[in-house]
Amino acid sequence: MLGDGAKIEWDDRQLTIDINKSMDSKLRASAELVASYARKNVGIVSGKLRKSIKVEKSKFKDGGYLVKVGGHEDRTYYWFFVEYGTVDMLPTWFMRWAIRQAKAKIRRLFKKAA
Amino acid sequence: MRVLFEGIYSLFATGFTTIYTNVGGRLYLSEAPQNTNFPYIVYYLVSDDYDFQFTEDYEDILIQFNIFDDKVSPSNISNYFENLKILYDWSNPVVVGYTVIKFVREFAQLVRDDDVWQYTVQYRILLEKD
Repeated sequence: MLGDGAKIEWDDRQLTIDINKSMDSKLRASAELVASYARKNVGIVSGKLRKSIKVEKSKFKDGGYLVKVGGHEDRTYYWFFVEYGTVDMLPTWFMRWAIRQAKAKIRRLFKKAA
Repeated sequence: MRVLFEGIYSLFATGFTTIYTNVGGRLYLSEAPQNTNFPYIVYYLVSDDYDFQFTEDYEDILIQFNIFDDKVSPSNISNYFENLKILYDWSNPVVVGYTVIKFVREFAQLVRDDDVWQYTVQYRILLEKD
């Protein structure tokens, strides 16, 4: 009865775990979204650059997810020139545009989560 | 965003700044003419996102500068980069119809390709509509 006062108890550790789990999946989904736009944006010459675009979990605590492109192992270090241009080539900004393209969907994703 | 391009160019050209002298006034939007003499700078509009917060209108803009130089040593281009920073970091160009909230350098990278040094510098600019 309200007149007698009320006491509500819950396990906030479980709540924190659930919130973190939900946030983590939203963060991963956001990074995957950016990566998928970046893959669409990049022109296909050999497909190597497109394949090199990957989502990775940050090694830092609370670091979220990273969208990575290029590397020395698969010889896609030229990603920089495709993104930022050269003296002979205009920049394509396929990565930076991907963030812009994904922005509205990411906002909706987090609004749904709230 | 013509008014911003004009603001960026005016800041560069007015009063013959050090960077203006360094590159002989060769600052181009999007593309340099064929056979342009080195050194020169090209700047690009990467993105322009309109943002609406509370009752204010904002434009969140990314601008990229590429400085090109064909000298063997990177020391000249490094000086040009320093002078570009002096001119644009937290600068306040005249952008007609807007107030410049911030003009911030986000990163810079020096690379060499095809015997040409290239300094890529990115700025984020936040404009508030008057």
